[in-house]
Amino acid sequence: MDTDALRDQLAACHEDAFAWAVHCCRRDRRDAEEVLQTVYLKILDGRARFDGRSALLTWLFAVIRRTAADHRRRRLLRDWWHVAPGEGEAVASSNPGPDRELHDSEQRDALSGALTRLPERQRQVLLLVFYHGCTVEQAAAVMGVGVGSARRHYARGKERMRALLEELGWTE
Amino acid sequence: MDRMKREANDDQLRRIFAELRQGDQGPVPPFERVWATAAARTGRRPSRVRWAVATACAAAVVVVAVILLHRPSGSDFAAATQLVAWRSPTAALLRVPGDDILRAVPSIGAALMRFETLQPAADTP
Repeated sequence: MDTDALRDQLAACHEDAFAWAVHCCRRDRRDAEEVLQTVYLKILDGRARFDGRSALLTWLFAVIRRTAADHRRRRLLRDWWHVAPGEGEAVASSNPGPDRELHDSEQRDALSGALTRLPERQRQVLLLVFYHGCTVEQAAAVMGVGVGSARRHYARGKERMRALLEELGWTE
Repeated sequence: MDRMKREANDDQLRRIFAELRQGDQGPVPPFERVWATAAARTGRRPSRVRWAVATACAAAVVVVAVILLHRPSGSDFAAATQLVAWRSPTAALLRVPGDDILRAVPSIGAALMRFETLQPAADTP
């Protein structure tokens, strides 16, 4: 696939890609934009190549997930290097958390709270399936795990999510 | 029954996530801007060759530093020479008569001791 055709397809799924990047960056939209920019840079550089073995969106989501994980690691390292002892709390509080954007709805607060309390894999598979409309197989490809493993995370995630929502007082 | 319950639960989760998605309708940075910024960054990244050269140089510096740190000093060398030159005071007691035979390698076909016969040779008139 040539660059122009790929660019057009990427433009078509840009919104979905950004939404997934936001989730991978713990709902920090600025970080998500940086991550997406790095993903496009990887594509332009040829470090990320679409070989057509999966759907474009699945491949793109997988690249975003890996890039966001790298970005998070680099940021942790940078914060650890630059932040003097005692300043950590101030930096953490300046970081927009999931609750800030969803404070207008108690129910959404409860949901976002429950999501943040889920283990990483369970959170990712639930978001991919229920939020982004992927199948469990596609979610497995994005997460870089086997389908069996993804199914286990999916089942456990749903159970845990229900328990957390009940605990947090979720009402329909 | 179990399946119905599971499906009802899945539907509930779908509704919950749909609501979350509705609440997430924030501004999305335009694709053109993000793509253009990424394209502008393409030349700035150090190439793999540069990384490889930098890594090789760093490795060479480490190797030289390790060699310099572990190089034997002058006093170590003198001690080693003394150790090699040392002989036991009782080494002379280990020498016995004929131990040259034990040290030398015998050659094939040759006797260690030579015997001479007193009989004259048969063809002597």
